[in-house]
Amino acid sequence: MNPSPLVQEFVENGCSASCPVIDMHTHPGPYKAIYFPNGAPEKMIQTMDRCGVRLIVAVSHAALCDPRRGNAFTENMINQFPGRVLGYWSVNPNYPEQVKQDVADFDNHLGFVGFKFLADYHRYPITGDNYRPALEYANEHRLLVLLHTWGHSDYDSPTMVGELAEKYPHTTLRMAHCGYGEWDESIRVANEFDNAWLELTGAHNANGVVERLVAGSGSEKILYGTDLPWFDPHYVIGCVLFARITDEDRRNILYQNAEKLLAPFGVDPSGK
Amino acid sequence: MVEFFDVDAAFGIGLIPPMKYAAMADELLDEMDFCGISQALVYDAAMRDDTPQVGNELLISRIRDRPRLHGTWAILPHQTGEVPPPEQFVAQMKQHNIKALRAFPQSHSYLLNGVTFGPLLEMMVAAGVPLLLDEDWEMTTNLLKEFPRLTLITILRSNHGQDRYFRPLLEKYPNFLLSTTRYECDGAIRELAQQYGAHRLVFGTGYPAVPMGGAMLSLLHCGLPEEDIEAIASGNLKRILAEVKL
Repeated sequence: MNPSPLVQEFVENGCSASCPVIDMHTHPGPYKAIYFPNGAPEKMIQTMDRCGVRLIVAVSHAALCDPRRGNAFTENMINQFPGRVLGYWSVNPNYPEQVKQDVADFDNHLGFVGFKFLADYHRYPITGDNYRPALEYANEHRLLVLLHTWGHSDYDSPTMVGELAEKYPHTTLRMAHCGYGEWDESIRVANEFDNAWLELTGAHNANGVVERLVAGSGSEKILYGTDLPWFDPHYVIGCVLFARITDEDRRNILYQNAEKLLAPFGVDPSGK
Repeated sequence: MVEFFDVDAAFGIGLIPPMKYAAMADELLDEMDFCGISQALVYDAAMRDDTPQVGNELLISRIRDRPRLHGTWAILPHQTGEVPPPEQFVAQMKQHNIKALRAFPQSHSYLLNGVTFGPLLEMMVAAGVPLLLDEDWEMTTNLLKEFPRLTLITILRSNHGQDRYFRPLLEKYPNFLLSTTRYECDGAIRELAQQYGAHRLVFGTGYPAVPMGGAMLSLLHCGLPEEDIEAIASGNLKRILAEVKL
């Protein structure tokens, strides 16, 4: 078996004290199309403990449909589990007047590090006007923006992320799913723009993708994510551990890069 | 250390290769070693993407003298004369120690039912030969209605939202099993084993479309008792294959 000490530690214990995983993409609560055994917030925390996941950044499933109801769900989880959960503030571009009000309300809620866009599901392009209030706010306040991205999408392709990265240089744009399938374009965007990052959620199970992304952009631009509870953290961790990369690459992906991104939001690298 | 026996791994040259794949059997063995997987029930991509006639022959030659790899064959309707009639086909299986069959009904343009495969499926039931089939819930449900004692192992190719399809089948048909291939939802393996019994699951990776390491680590630390993990990881598949009487 892969002789890496880090890999051996995870195989033997299921977690690693020296590698406290940070999951940058999670969705608590139920979802219409999928049965989740562990979708409730308290069960997600139990999973985190079992898998050695120190911290997650969450946006509830409900927030993707109805941001007001769903952002409150996310906020409750942040408050219920201090130090374990941060949040993304969701906006639904199909209700443009509400987007403006929701963006104005962002600063009244603690624990949120930025916005979440689900453009493919909302069928509204990330470059459209209705997202502009959130992007301008994120740019002004140097926030993260988690973008669902998919290869050749009319709504959130990696090329479109590149347009946003150039226009809003003070945001940190996170390409969830790595622009699935359009890997080389995602790598190009991550390489061309300091503020564009790759994130493994849902891309982890494309065999060879971890090696390809590391070779293309370097492990310093790749983040770990699981869509928890969609994916078992151990499954995604295993895809990173058993990729043919170095232990330093694995640590960068599993937590070190996330620590750097989250440091401005009060996340202490020591874990306090 | 838990022994892993992968029910769903392949090598060979397919129509559209994944980013990483094993062209030959030894490359697959190398990846299995790297990921801590000791044995695999394998197919050659040519069985799916070329033809069963070509692929089944290639498989036999390519796994020869590799005892950790166990072969499967793909089926076709015998009525067109491309494959031998059922009795002769089963005799060839015995000759080459083939103890499991695969079906690719959509790629190979046939209906997987009793009208097309009745005698073969009856022989499979009598001999305990398992059939491996990618998810197709309507076809699977109809097949199990016709052959409720068939050992049928369904392999997920998409990773979410399948429980509402297959849990009713687990309740109704005791010889229906699920491969853990792509069953990636958090807590899913543990809950399914607790509800229906660990004997209803067999470990699978889906290599080369899917990497092996995640599936291995996920099962290893799923939270079930060790005897259940061992059963899913290798025990169940070993028992099924050992009980085949050709």
